[in-house]
Amino acid sequence: MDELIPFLLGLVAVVLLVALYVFLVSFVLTSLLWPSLPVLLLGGVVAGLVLAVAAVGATLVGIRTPVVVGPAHVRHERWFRPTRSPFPRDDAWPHYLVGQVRADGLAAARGVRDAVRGPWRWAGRHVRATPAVLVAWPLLLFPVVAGGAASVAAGAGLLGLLAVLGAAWAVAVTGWAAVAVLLRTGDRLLRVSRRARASCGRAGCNHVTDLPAFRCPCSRLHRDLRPGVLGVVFRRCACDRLLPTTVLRAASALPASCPLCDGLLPRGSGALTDVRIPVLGPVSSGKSRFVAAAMLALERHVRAADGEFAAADDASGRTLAAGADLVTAAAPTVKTAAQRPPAAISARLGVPATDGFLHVFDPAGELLRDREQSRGLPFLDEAQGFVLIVDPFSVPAVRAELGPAYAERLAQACPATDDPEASYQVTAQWLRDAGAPLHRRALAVVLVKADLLVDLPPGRALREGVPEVRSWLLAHDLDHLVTAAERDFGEVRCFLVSSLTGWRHDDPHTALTPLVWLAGLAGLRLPEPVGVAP
Amino acid sequence: MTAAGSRGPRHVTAFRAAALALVVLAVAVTVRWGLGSWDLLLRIVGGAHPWLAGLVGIVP
Repeated sequence: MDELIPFLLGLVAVVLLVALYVFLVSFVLTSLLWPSLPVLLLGGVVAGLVLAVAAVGATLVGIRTPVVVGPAHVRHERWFRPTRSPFPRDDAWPHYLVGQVRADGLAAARGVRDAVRGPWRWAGRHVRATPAVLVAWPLLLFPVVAGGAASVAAGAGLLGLLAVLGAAWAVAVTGWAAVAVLLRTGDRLLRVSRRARASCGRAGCNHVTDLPAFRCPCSRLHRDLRPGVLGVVFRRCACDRLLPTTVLRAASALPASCPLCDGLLPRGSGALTDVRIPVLGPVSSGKSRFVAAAMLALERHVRAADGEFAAADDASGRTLAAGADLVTAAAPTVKTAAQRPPAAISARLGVPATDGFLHVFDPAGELLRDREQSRGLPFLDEAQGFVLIVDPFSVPAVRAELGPAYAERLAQACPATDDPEASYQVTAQWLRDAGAPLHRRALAVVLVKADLLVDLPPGRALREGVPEVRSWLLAHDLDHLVTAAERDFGEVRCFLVSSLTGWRHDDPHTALTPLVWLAGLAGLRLPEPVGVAP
Repeated sequence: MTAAGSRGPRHVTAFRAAALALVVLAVAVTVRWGLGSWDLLLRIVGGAHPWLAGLVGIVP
């Protein structure tokens, strides 16, 4: 009995405590929680929405610093699709709408996530540390209900704001892309209409491109300055300088470089008409002398027409000056080095109707002897027109006609050793193999040494202008060469030139006529020379 | 970090300012939709600060 009473008293106490707990729980749930549920929910929703706006606002104001998408990111596939170009994307800041906008959106979303997750994690940690607190679970329901409402509202608010900003982004990026496409197309069309390209004159490179690289004053090279993800109207270099987009604008503001060898290109490359003419022919046929005479005659011709003529680079300037000295002094020509491919002799020509570059290549005849050696002349397949030098004194029919009586005059002419037809066949075959569209190219067949030829029996008729050069070639067993050339090339014209006197632009056998004809076909229209023999 | 600064070039700031203006507009339109009229919203805004009241031309 003595043991029963305390047990019963204890039982009663427990029952009372349980009843009190149940009462309190019921009281809290029914009298406190339930009536305050609308306030809790409303407060939670408002707090959640404010949280979402605050997180987005903090990101945009810069309080929360997202990843700064800069020049270092433009080459990462995680941020930008790789370019189709063989070169990586340029070192410049990406446009906000295609780079930073993603980072800002992610930062805003992470801001909301962290703000929502933080209190829940804090509460979870404390409940795990002190599980006894769960006894007061009805009281915990207050923050749980309010926090749940706030979390859901914050997520919904974030989605709503991102939807609004996403719609604005879609409109902006569409307009941005439209402007980019418009500028890019306009730039391309203008350059195509001008037949503008950029040619590297460096020996062995001779790369020809529609898209020259441009160097920022900080020395960073921008290989693709067209409107794109790095900017539509302007782009900002990693050094913070603002650079113009489009090749046309960049060409007038920045120094151009060859994208392949980084060599400096003349100012205006890529934006002006660009004509490349290799001069082909056997060893000692008179190619170098022809080039020197033709370029000097061209300079005089352009200046006589109130135009401008200037060497496009220092090396070309030196070559032109040396060539001018050579032909005006009638000095003997120095043999062209056959160890390496030639550098271009480049000049910028400006006459009222046209402005552009003319690049003339003078490869040593040895390089054209076989296909293996021709392979080292990359400019051949990018040329718009060709000059084929034919030394009349290397033609067997002419030598036979001259006979021993003119042996001294023949030796004086220093005739080429190789047959012009064989030289032509090797080069034409290589060009065909390389896929050069010869049927869209022009060939000027230039019969040189006119000053000697017209005084001798085989060429006397040419002095009177009858027959024309083509017929003369046919009559002197060069019919295979003429027929093959006319079959291979889109246009063929024959010229009679004297490199000895033809450096004068008004000479009847001036050397500039083939260049003017070929340059005109390639879009660089120069005034026709006057007083030229037919 | 380059000379453009730790937050990127200036155009980033301009775009963020535009986005912030859009967020403020979206919030204002939502609150106006909830309150039912611009007048009440302007009174609340005006009540928050006299300068804002002057700006919107309403005396709270």
